[in-house]
Amino acid sequence: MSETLNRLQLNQILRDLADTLDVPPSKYREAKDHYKAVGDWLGGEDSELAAFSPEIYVQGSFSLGTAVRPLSEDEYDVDAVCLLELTTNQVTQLELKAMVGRRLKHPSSRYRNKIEPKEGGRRCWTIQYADDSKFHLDILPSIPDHYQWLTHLGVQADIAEHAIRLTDNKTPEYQTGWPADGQSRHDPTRSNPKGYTKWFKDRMRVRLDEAKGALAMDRRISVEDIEDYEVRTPLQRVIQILKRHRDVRYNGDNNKPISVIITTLAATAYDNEADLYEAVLKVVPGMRQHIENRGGVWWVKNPVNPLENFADKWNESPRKAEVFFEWLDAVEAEYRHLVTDKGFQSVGSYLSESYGERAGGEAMTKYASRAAAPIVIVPRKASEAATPKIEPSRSPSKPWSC
Amino acid sequence: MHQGVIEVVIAQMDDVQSEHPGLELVRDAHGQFCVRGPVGFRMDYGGLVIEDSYEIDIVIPDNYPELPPTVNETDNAIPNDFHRFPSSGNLCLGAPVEIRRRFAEHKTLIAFINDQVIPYLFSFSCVRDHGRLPFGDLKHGSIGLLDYYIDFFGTDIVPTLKLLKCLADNFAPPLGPCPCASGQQLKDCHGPKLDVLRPHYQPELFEAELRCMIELARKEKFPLPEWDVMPMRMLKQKQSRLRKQQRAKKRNRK
Repeated sequence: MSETLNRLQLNQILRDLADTLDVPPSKYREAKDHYKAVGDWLGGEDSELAAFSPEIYVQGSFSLGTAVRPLSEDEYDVDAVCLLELTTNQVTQLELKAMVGRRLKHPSSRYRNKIEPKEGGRRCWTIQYADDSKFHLDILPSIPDHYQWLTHLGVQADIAEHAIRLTDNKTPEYQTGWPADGQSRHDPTRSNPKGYTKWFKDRMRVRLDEAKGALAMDRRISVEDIEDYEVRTPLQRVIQILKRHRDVRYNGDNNKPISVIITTLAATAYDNEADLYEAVLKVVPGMRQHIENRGGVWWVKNPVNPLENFADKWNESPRKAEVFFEWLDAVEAEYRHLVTDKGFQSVGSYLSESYGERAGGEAMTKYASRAAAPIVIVPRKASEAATPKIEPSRSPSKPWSC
Repeated sequence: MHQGVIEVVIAQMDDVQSEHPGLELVRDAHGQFCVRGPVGFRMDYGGLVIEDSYEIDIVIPDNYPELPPTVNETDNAIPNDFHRFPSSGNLCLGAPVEIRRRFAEHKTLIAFINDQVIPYLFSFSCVRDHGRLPFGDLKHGSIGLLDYYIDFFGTDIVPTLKLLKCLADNFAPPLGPCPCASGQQLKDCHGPKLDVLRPHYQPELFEAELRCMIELARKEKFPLPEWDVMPMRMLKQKQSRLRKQQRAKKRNRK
């Protein structure tokens, strides 16, 4: 057995693993149908919002193509931004949120009984779909941001122009307006999901175009007709694998690494590697290197907003920083071990332990069906059970169940 | 799996097959080693003599023999409601720390089969044929675990939880007073019992069990001196939550 051989097999096994964790394109299509329908309702002829030309688009893992199947029977969490043509002078955060809420809860709205909780969340209205699609859709009311402050900080215009203002009911200015401009601290009502998605896709541009080109050839259609969500690049697969590893290892722990930090660092460290195994071993150390410490303050910068620090919570709870580095170390050590002969022999149990029984099992089943069948090491000596006399020990254990 | 582990398992199969010749060692598609086949016994306990056999599957963990194997019954002879883990169907031979403790006495497959698996199978045969449990059993869930520890330490609920806290926090000063309030120093009282359990279970695992028992006591409205039995990490979380609430109250007053 050699490292090279193990590496080749690992690439395939990791691909299979990522496939079992992946959310299929059909679910993306379903999600798109859902939020487009909400968009049509919000912008309908008789809607009070129609005058503001509402636009609806997805953000987060469904926009980046990094969504993973939930661990247990949890639902898919789809975030969509609802952008209205208004300014901060025309409407307060409260009013903006309420307008969208009114339309969703309108007597003839099919969503009026699906809003949970009824008074809305911190930043969004959540539509709970009762059917078995297992979705819930978060709609975030927003307005465009004047973005000169971003270009002044050095962000490219084609990314900055998508900057938006969201509502956040925990800000002191929620009822009366918006947080003031010109502050040096990050303003939680400012965001740029479209810009972030554009940055993310640029980080994996070479592999993304390659994958779409290949799919287009397979289907004998034009590459323009392929949606981004129909393909996965090694970067997306690495992020999916890392997210699930995190889910299993830190299930229930409040200090677990958060997805936006994992995604941002991985995309920053990724250099269009083609092989999954190679990608993990380049990306994980790279993630470590891109975590900044500015004079004692942990900083993971938002690549499309230099004022925003994704790791601000690490400074409130230093344990979060510890956990993050501990996790990176663990992943790197595990993967280095995996390619050795000793490590590779137990790849099956490693995958089940670190990624969940189902994902690990399925990946290994696919691998095994390509490799040899189970091997019997020691043959039986008899086919009937003997019944040797067994002496019970002083006091045997009492059976239990959890 | 480590080459050394494979060698240990193959060597131990000798003893296994001399008493249970129908058992074989296989390696499945996941690379996992298992001992499978029929295991039979003739056992005499308290006037009950039972001769029986079951089809079992013993899975060897990668860090064997540091940790004991898990075992399942593969012929559906034992129903799911008789002491089996709900997700895997594995046979629940006893309280987890107890299984490890007993296994650590010999660390061999034959001892595991004869001292832990067969008594379990004998128990089930007794229930099936005579309607009673020969060695008793533990109730389901945290309450069963609590009963195990109460029995093991030979004291009441609150001192038992305090002793568990020593294991969860990995803090048991031998010259300090024993948590059972006997007035003796720990080293002369329950200290040796803690020493028996401690090597077989990490503090995090004791902590997880203790947390579940505290949650159960809260649900049942059983009064506990929480600050004396909560594991250190849970205390810290409670303190930080209280501090947050106080800060929030101050902010709201402003």
